[in-house]
Amino acid sequence: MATTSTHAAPTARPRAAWPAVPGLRLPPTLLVGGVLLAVVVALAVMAPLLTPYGPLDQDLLNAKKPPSWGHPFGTDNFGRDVLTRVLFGARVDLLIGLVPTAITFVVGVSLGAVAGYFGGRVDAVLMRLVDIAVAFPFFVLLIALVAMLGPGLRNMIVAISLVGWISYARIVRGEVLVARQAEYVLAARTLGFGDARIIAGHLLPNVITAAIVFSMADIVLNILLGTALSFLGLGPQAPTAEWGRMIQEGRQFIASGEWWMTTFPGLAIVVVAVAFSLIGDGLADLLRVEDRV
Amino acid sequence: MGNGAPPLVETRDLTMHFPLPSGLVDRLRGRPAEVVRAVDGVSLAIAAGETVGLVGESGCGKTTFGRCLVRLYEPTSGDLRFRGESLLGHDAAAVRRLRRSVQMIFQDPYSSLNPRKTVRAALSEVLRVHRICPEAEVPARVAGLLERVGLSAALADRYPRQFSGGQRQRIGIARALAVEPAFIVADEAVSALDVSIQAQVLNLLAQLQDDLGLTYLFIAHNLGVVRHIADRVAVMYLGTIVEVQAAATVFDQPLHPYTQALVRAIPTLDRGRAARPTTAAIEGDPPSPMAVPAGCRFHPRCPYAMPVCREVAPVLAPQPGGPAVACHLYPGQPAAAGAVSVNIGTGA
Amino acid sequence: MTPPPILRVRGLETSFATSGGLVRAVDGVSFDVGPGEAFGLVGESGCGKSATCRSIIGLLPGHATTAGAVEFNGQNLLAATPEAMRRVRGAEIAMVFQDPMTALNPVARIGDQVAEAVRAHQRVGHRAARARALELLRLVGIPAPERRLDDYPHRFSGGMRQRVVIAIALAGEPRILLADEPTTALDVTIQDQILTLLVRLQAELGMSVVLVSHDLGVVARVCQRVAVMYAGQIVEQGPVETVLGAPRHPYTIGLLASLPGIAGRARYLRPIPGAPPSLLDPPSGCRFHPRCPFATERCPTWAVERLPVGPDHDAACWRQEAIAEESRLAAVGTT
Ligand SMILES: Nc1ncnc2c1ncn2[C@@H]1O[C@H](COP(=O)(O)OP(=O)(O)OP(=O)(O)O)[C@@H](O)[C@H]1O
Ligand SMILES: Nc1ncnc2c1ncn2[C@@H]1O[C@H](COP(=O)(O)OP(=O)(O)OP(=O)(O)O)[C@@H](O)[C@H]1O
Ligand code: SF4
Ligand code: SF4
Ligand SMILES: [Mg+2]
Ligand SMILES: [Mg+2]
Repeated sequence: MATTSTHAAPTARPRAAWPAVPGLRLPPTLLVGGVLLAVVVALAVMAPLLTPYGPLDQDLLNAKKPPSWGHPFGTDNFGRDVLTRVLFGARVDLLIGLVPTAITFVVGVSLGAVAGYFGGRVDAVLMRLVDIAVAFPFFVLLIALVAMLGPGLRNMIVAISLVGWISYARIVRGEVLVARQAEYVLAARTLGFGDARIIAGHLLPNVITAAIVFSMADIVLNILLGTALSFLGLGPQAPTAEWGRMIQEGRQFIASGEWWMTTFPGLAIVVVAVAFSLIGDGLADLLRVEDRV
Repeated sequence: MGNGAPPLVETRDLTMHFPLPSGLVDRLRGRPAEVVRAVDGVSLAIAAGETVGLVGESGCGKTTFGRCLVRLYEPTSGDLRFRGESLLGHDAAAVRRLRRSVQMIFQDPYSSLNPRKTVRAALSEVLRVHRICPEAEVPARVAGLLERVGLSAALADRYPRQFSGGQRQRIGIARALAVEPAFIVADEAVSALDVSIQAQVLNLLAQLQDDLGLTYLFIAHNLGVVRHIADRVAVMYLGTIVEVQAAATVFDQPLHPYTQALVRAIPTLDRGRAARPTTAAIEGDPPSPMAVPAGCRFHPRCPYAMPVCREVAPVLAPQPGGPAVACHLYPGQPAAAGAVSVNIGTGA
Repeated sequence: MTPPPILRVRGLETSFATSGGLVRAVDGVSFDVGPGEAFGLVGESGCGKSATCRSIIGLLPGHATTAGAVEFNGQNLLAATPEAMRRVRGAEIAMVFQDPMTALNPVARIGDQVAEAVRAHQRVGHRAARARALELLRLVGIPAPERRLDDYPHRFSGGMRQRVVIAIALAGEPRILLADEPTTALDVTIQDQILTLLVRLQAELGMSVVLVSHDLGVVARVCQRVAVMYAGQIVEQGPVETVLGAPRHPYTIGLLASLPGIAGRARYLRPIPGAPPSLLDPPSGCRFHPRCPFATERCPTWAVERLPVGPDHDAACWRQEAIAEESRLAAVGTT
């Protein structure tokens, strides 16, 4: 089966040779998501320049004002400008999304690759750890960890990192188990390459796609986790501008009609989530090695 | 062979058993784990410059044996020598040096090259890791290797998927040659290729042998290919070698009943001799390497099986004129029934 | 005189619409299969053998288009309604595929799978179908079939599975059996068993067999007549003895010369240079001309046609006379 049409004269098929020419033929989803994310990051970075207010500046005389020219997103119950807090909140929330994901990605991918490649005892120990972790509901485990470490931004990140690597380890281990039987890996071994070189140079580039794509969803997940923990009061403490916390604080005013305190941070979460999902889809397209056509 | 220099490659009673994953219950009961006896006591010597063909039915252990030779598998027992030095020894540096001299060409031209490396990157990596040549000479070396296998150096910056099956096989050969090996295990190296392309690659292998004095272990299920390329043929059945004979004679005078069946099963173009025979060369399927028959492993399918065959495992015994065969029909076998003490341990 | 053919393929064209363009997998293929005859179709990977078979039995994917005629019983199968085609399939023409590992349902018992095929073609009760299944399994050489009826496919070896697949194909008592590389996935010894079975069935049941293979030896083992395909076309056709013994088309000649283990034990083979062309954009004129050692400047523009060589033997090369003459002279020169 693998032999069908293999003899099409190779010169007749100058296929777009990613990664030799990156930047060409980017999937549209990746472009849109990337632009969206770039805008969010730019807004977060330039927040002080974009608004005359500080995220913590109170103006009790102007509390709970609906959106207006002076306060496009309105003000909250302390009279703080909601737009300003959403912009500054992006810094915290992107941090919550990116830092634990980066940590869990590196740790999970390395452990998964090592376990899958060497198998045997290393693998057995790792898989037992995974089994134990998986036995608890993810969120319950997370809450327990934060409760143990104490609330706060840093501990929240530590807690998410302690639990999150497992998904990466499982994904990569599964792929490595298959890929290490591939003849190009056997060839690398007969050529006398070291294990580190084989894992980093031959296995990982071929198995990491799934983990990268997953990490985009994971960033969103971590932001949502962060906001949820903040919502429960386990995240960054008041008065930090953070979207989950803002929703939690504004929640009590929804009933009385002051919708803007919760809606705008909620929308911000949606925008970031959409950006990363689009990037994830686009990367999946881009990184897929073209099948043996 | 024999007098003077040791053979280039030699195995002595090499075995490779794969333990089957056993259930917890079995382990608690202390039952011994079941094993697949993929290679079960193979002694074979290969002289420098010769090509030995290894043939046999699917699952008889050809690949496993080849992978033991290139040290992809750690043999369960037995010895593996290269130029008389043991490759299973403890001197890590020596083993590493010897290992480089033993390379492999793989079967599948699609999965044997890393899809994310250009040909140049793949070949340069080998040259650099083993410091085959000074950095400045790497590009010239890569070009030289590609030319050696009949590819234009202009193609070096392409990815494997941009090549046809035959071209990929050439790249795989170039990669093995990069470390300047003396011995190459070719495991079904032309099986996936079309006849016309297969002939091109076979010619390349012959050319390389003539130019570089390479030694090959050529594993193939296509007996026509083996007949063409090999000097000697080793026939494997269920993890053991049952016959070794010169390629020039084995196809005309196969000794072992299994070899005879194998030769008769080759579809030939020669319609005159036995046009459309209506009986098969051999009936039945090979048994599983997990439940190896006692005595001669071939006896359940052998048309000549005798009582002794069920009890005493024949050994590979040299015959007049050069061949060696493991069968009670030929001289040199352990004493038959009566001498009960002989067959200790031939069972499971 | 020879009886009229049971299957007449005329000017068959099959193409697949792909992202890279139109793949002309079969391009003007014509051949006849006589009643009770074993006909071989050989050629290298991708030359259109499977596409030809699938066109005959009407099992092409949606993005394929066909033209020409496949006449069976005076009916053009290419123009038949899906309903009529379903009646032909299995009952008149049955097909056996390459991979015996995936051709059987892994979760159904062997006996049930064969019995189901029997009931698909005959209005018989459950017991009768089972009895017939047993008979079929015995016919294809399953040892002690009564004990294997209730086994699942995973308990069968590759060769045994292929026998079961053949039993299923025989359930409708077809008049033509299309076998597409039925032994490629099997060992030589098992291949020999299956080929022996095909020879026996063809003789005992008087069935026609169309055997597709890339292996000339396999075709020689089973078939009386053979067609050699190259890049979607038949380049040579005739009795097996003649085509393989005295080939006239340069491609057939080259193919035979590149077979290892045939031409004595010469150190070097004489392979055909280059590789088969892409069917997206095949060479003009004679498609073999970029690789043909005998090509002249006329070949790229020659309107290909199959020229008669002898009784029931033709080759699609306008230079065949001259080439035969040249080789005769060369042979005289070397001996
Ligand atoms: N890594 C492994 N673990 C367990 N069993 C194995 C392993 N590799 C091979 N085997 C078993 O060992 C036996 C010999 O396999 P091997 O691949 O060496 O056969 P082979 O002669 O190369 O067959 P083929 O012609 O199909 O390539 C088979 O029964 C196979 O299932
Ligand atoms: N479903 C399909 N879609 C597109 N192209 C196809 C399809 N099936 C076959 N082809 C193309 O049609 C051509 C002929 O294919 P076909 O499968 O008939 O070849 P074959 O002679 O049977 O080869 P093989 O020996 O590899 O089985 C090939 O170039 C193949 O790529
Ligand atoms: S030892 Fe006996 S069973 Fe084995 S091959 Fe020889 S005759 Fe046959
Ligand atoms: S027509 Fe010309 S190119 Fe084609 S086979 Fe004949 S000589 Fe060769
Ligand atoms: Mg093998
Ligand atoms: Mg096919």
